[in-house]
Amino acid sequence: MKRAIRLLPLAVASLLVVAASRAAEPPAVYASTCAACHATGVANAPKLGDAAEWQRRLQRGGQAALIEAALKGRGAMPPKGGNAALSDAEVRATVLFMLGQSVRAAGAAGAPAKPDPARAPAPTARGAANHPGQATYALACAPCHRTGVLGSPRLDDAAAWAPRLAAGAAALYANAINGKGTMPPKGANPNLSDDDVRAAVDYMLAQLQPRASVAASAPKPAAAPAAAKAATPADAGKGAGVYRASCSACHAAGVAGAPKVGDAAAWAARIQAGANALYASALKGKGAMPAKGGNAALADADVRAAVDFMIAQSRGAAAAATEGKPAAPPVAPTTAQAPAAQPAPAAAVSAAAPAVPAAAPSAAAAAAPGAAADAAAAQSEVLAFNRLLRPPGKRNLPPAQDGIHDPTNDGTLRLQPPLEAFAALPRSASGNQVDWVKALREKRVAPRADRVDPKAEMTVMDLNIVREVKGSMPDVVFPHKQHTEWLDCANCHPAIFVPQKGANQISMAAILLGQKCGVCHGKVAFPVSECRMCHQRKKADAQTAAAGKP
Amino acid sequence: MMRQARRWGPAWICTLALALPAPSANAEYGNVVINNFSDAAGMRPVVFPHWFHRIRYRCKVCHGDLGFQFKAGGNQINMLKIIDGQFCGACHNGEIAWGVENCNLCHSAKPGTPTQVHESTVQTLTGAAATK
Repeated sequence: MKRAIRLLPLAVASLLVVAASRAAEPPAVYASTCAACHATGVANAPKLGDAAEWQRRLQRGGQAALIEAALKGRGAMPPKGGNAALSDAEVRATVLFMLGQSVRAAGAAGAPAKPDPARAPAPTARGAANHPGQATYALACAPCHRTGVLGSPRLDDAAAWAPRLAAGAAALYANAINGKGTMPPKGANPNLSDDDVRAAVDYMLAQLQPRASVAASAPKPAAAPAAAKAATPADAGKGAGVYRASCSACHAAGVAGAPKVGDAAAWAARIQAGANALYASALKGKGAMPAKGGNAALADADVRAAVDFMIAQSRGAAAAATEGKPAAPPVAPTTAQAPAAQPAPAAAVSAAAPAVPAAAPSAAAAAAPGAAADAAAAQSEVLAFNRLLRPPGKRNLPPAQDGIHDPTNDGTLRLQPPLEAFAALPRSASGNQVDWVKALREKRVAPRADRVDPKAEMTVMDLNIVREVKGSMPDVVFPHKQHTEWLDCANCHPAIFVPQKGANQISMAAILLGQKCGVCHGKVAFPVSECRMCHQRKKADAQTAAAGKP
Repeated sequence: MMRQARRWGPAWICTLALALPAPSANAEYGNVVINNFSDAAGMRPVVFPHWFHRIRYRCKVCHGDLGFQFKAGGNQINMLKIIDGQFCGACHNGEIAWGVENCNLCHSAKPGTPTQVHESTVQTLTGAAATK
């Protein structure tokens, strides 16, 4: 009891800083903790995006049972996915996120858990995890096709892809391999095999298919039972697709005075004016808003569906926020678990806009535990085992959430999230959580050794230098090989290191201050917390014993 | 009374520490923020993601061939040099990588973010503004 009282200020304070702190978002928690098994489906874990499997589990005991299993473990699944640092609220929110990605993605053509494209999970989480073309896509295609530079069709722009899809996959393969317009052959990676490129194209098509099929009303991917259970009207899916293709450029981030989707305050007055007024503005344009969002090819019904979708997303978030704020963590998920508790916001929406009963509760479900997770995360951070270590939920965050990039900048939303590229790379325990040396050795990355010539090779020198160090620390072995795989001799010699054994005074203090090895290590190369990476040669026993004697 | 004060002390200190808007930047290791001229010119500072570039190029291409110093903010890069094909402009020219018209892809940091190598020991030890 006393303990509880003592913790009270903490709880109050953490509620206060909810707005200021950045809690672990469900996609980030998923990526750091759950993806290890749920991305690939190892150890009988239901694979993210596998609608049938998730549906089966959902029917067994509902969301409550799934959340219970995630919290307490079940079968091969450890409690909280083995990451005890996660709060219950974070786990709940992540389960709902995964459920949404798996069940709803199939049923409603990928209605997003959140409309913000930067927060939308990387393609890994869209149900195509471990696609054979994913790694190639991330390395060779994503730089342009994620951002849409040089006139390339963006991967999330269904409208831009429609005519290309119509031309058929064979034509796309040919263009990808041979180049077309500003697109260089094989995305300027001549080392790729034709099959690699085809696989990457397949991957991109797989990403597009669910959304494109809505636009072109082609047959949906086979997920009949899921669709029936989720009972999502086609309109909601269509609205979401149109929104993503034509409206999200401005309404996701709030560009040019556009009301941001999910921003209840900005939408309240507009919703009050009635859906018809919003339809009219969307169809005919208003202020900086072009008619039909600048996409004149859209049918009026599609535009209305998109407006309905945006209203539902924004009003749903508002309803959830008012419910979620006063509620303590255990309460919020209850509202999320019981669909019966939701008819209030849903009914209100369907009165004004008959389209989206399914999308509204889902948005509410995602938002309510989110607020609770914020509070819990702020608290768990202070009480963490080691506050100086970055907690798992805060590693490899997408640019918009990383605290350095400006989330209100449209360019930020177009940058590649690190995890999308890292999915194919060997992980490590520090730095970028990527073992770069291993990635290069295993040819998972093929960085060029010349600005333009992809065939240029590094001059590798295989010579180990041993530095005997003071005290009991193991001696340092400096491998020229791993360094010359990335660097030229002239990068280090003679400015940083005199090329002569014993001529360089090196101390950990200097390294920590960014000199000597610290020019790279502790900045971009593996950090100094990895002592044994350098201090790796055990001192000879005889030598240590002799040193101990006077 | 004393005992109570002692018991509540740490809790309130924690509360205070929590209530301060902690700078919660959790960006990728090695991200470089360059703010030599940006803020003064009314642009967002530049974020250079090392991780993205090292997937595609060895260190030596930029730090040897293109002449980038191993020092955040140490290259005095401006848009004129870039348009003339120096530094970033050696690749970001619309041929090798996308060109300078995509301002907001580089100028994407929160306004006021100081020059830094994010999460570097230098930044931790000497404050965010250190650029050495």
